[in-house]
Amino acid sequence: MDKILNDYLEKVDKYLKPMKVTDRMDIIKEIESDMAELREHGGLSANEIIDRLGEPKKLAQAYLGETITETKGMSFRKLGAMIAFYSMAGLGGIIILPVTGITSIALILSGILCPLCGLVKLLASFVGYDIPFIGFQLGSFSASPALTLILSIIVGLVFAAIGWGLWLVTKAYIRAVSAGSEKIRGRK
Amino acid sequence: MNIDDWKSQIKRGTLEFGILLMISQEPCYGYEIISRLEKWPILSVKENTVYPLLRRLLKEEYLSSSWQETTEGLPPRKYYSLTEKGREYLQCMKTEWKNLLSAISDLEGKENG
Repeated sequence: MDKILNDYLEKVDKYLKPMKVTDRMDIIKEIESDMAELREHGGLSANEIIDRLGEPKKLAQAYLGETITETKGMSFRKLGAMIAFYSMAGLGGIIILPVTGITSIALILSGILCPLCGLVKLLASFVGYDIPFIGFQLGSFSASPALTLILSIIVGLVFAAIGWGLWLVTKAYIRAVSAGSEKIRGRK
Repeated sequence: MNIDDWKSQIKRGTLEFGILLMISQEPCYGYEIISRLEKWPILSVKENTVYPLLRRLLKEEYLSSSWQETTEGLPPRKYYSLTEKGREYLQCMKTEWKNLLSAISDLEGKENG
């Protein structure tokens, strides 16, 4: 047997690795027989024979494709998709969800509390009491109780808006994750 | 117009039928099947289609195989023959084939008339 043909068979055998040894031997023996027929009865040269048989990898894949059942092939791909999916969801569980979730809730609460404090300070100032730990201070400038209320409402709105935005991000993330898991479950 | 796509789909479905019909006449080996199918371009195929297909039919127990020595000094040949299960399968295919042909000829009749 020609070296070209031998090398070809060795390559096919290598690519058939996932199959049982007995199956592989049988396949190689049959291709070898086909090569001999192509030469004797088809009048083909060694190069023409391997041209006709095509890439060793392709030929092996054709065998594997017919042998490995559809479901088994899917489960391999599914496993890959699942690993990718759960590692991402896992990272999300550790980092993304706590950060966006907690920050968003904290910001919304601050947004509500901030104007309330401003209101408290203003009301307290009406009865002649200045609450020292509520107020706006910028350098030596200190806002009056009325200005404090206005500023606290503005700051509260900004906090709430950022918090709401983060909440939307959190929800979108959860939806994306569960859509991904449905996609994987749907493929079963 | 892409008739080749359609042809390859037809081929995929009918090749199995054609090969089983051929083997039902007498046991055949792979190269023999390939060279006999070459007569009809719509059914002509290469090794990378026929051998994996034969292997699947073996696994599904429609075919059985045996290695036989040649008298010409060539390597042994793997002969395929139809099993009882394969015969039943082929019988069902023949029925479906007739159904398909009569459906198509009905449709053609409507088109022409």
